[in-house]
Amino acid sequence: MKGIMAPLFIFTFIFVVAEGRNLFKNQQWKELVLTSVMLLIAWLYGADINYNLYILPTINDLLQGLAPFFNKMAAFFRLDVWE
Amino acid sequence: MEKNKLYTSQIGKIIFILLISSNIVYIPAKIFRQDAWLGILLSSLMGFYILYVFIKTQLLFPEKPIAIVASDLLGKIPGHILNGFFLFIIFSILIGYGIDVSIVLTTINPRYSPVLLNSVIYASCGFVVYHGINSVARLSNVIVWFVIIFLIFGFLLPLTQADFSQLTPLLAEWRPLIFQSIFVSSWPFSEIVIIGAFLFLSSDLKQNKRVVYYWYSAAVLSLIAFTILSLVILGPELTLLYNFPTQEVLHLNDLGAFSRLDIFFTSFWVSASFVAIICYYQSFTMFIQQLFSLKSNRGLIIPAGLMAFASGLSVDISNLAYFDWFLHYLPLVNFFIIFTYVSALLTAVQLYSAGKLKTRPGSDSA
Repeated sequence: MKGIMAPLFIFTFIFVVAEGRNLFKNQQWKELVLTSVMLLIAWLYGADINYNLYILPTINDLLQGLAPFFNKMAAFFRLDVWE
Repeated sequence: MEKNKLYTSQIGKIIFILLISSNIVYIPAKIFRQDAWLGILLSSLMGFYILYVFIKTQLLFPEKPIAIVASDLLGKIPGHILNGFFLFIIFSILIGYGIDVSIVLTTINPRYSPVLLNSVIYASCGFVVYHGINSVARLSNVIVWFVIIFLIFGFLLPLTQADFSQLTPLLAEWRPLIFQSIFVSSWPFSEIVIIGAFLFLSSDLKQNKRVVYYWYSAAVLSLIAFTILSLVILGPELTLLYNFPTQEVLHLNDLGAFSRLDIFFTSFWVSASFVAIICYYQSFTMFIQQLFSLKSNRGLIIPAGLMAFASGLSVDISNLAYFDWFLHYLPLVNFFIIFTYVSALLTAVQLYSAGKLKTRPGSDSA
């Protein structure tokens, strides 16, 4: 999916200009660390998609582990009646 | 009214729009076939439970956000673990809503790329979030009447084609109904947990707490009404077959100048879904602000939006696993986390009221 880096770049720039500078000036280190972590996650996922790497787990992947549990519950409650 | 304070009626309207938004198009309980409306009724109990616990907690600790009360009463580590799971759920649903709206907008405008549409979604929602929770409340104040007028007309106009015999036999299969109710109580009714982020801002909760229940009940009744409408017009099988049964019902009703009622419906749905994204986006940043004791959530808005934007695009919606995630695993996880969170909070609040539990040392007492 090409083109994802452009919005990431534009909004990171807006953030740095509009908020980042003030956070730094006011020495709000906790906010700076949190926002940096969020931006880092966004950029990592952006790069992952842009370069078709697909190394990082999606929320989808994290929840896939529940499949066996779900299937057991579905069998117990006879969910197949409606499928 | 004081800045950053909300009226209870505004919180009620936010709940109403949140529940009506995308849910009315899908008919959440359609898998129950002719018992779908009963499924909605059964599942809505979860929402009443959440409201009861949150309002009770908030009346006991009027100035404290729910997340802080949870970590004060449950202890630092268990409280933070539960809050962490809770935050994950809010983020997952935010992404889910983003994907949902993006799919519909891509269907309407196939020429535009998902990157562009998602950028527009998060940028416009972020803009509202930037103006604070009061702007979300004011937006709900305006939109709610538009939604109610639409609901009344949308329900009454197609009724001429109704065949009420489609609602029988009642309760043919009760066992799957109970299991599926977990899913329906998780989505849409558990969605109202996000009010935990801003319920403490209510200036008149003690006097008007019933208003919140009234708006919630109005949303449940609207969902029941539209579920019955789909069943009596399309029948249980077609309701299950269509992705957007309500839209199909309205598509069948071309009325002179309003010859494309479904277009009005789409515009209503997109506006209401935007409000839902805004509410989740706002709550997500407010929860982080509360958990990390930050002065404001302003600085978090753009980074949180970018994080949701990028991780939302990483989900491959062309993959069938996405539907498994969205329709099965997310509601299941959502239900267990929210039920555990709310029940743990209720137990702690009961023990606190009975004098058997004290808040964490160092935290402000109620």
